[in-house]
Amino acid sequence: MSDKREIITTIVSSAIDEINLDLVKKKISKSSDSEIYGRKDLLDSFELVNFIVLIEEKIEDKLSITVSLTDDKALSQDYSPFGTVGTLIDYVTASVNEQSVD
Amino acid sequence: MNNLLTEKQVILISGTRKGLGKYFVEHFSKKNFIIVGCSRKPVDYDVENYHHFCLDVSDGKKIKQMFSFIRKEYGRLDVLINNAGVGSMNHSLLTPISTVHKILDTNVVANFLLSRESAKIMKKNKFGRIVNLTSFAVPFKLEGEAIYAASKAAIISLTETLSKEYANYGITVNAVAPPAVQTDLIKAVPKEKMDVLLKRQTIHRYGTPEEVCSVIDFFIDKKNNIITGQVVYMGGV
Repeated sequence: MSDKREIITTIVSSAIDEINLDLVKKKISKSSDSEIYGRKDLLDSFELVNFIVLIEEKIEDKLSITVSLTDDKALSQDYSPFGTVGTLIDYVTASVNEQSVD
Repeated sequence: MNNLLTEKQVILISGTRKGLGKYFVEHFSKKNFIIVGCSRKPVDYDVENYHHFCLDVSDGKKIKQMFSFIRKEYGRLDVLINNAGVGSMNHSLLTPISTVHKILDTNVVANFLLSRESAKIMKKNKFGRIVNLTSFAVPFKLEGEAIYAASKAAIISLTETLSKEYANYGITVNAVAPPAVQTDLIKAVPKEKMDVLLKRQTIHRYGTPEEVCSVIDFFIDKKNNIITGQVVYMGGV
């Protein structure tokens, strides 16, 4: 696993811990195939917004990079990058790598 | 979790170099706010507790950097006044597309960007006040201001929709349409044209920056947490 991906995994894990504090009925598990948003809709749209904003902030604090995780690229993908914990980590890592190249 | 790094309220005002924006800085400085302001060029004044950013308000990257500063330095943002705006008086047949883009970028895109980034900080403290500046050019349907009026109509729409999206975060979003105020924006407008405009207002006189601040003070008052999605047309339409 690359250093960057490892950091992103830690960031997402920490964001899951924080968001779980606010979730009453269900909790997000940290396994790669754990669903976040999609068919089973673990998070509602309001909770998903909070979750994504939290990850953006943690990236900024940890890596000093500002990213927008809800750009056109995210919305145009065939499968939502916010579907599972695994796809989310893939997507965030790709977004951060793109920013680093700029 | 308490993220607040200062006990003072923090206000962000766009377009602070001159006109109403400059007056807002003085007004909120007297009220003991920490003020963050921005405009394309530096300001020529020195006000206590004021921090200035030189940026184009439609530049998403620069805007994000400004909000990064606010979050790290103060850990809070209580009020946003979306004041920055540009106008252009011209018949639509003589309005170049570059002018259209410039007006929409500054008046609409920037308003959206600043509101979005502000709400991200405000929601953490479950409190926020966003005040947008719209214009009587919308209800008066002023000839020669087609794009300006369209951009300010968009502000009303944003005010109403964002008020719903942000309600659960304890953030209110309201708009004020100042009356004709003698600022730089209307210096170039011929007196005869201004007289006609004043006649169309219900109250036929110029307003003052103090009167505009009075409406903003009402919107941002902590007690008024049920006032949202509203537009006040000063001077009456």
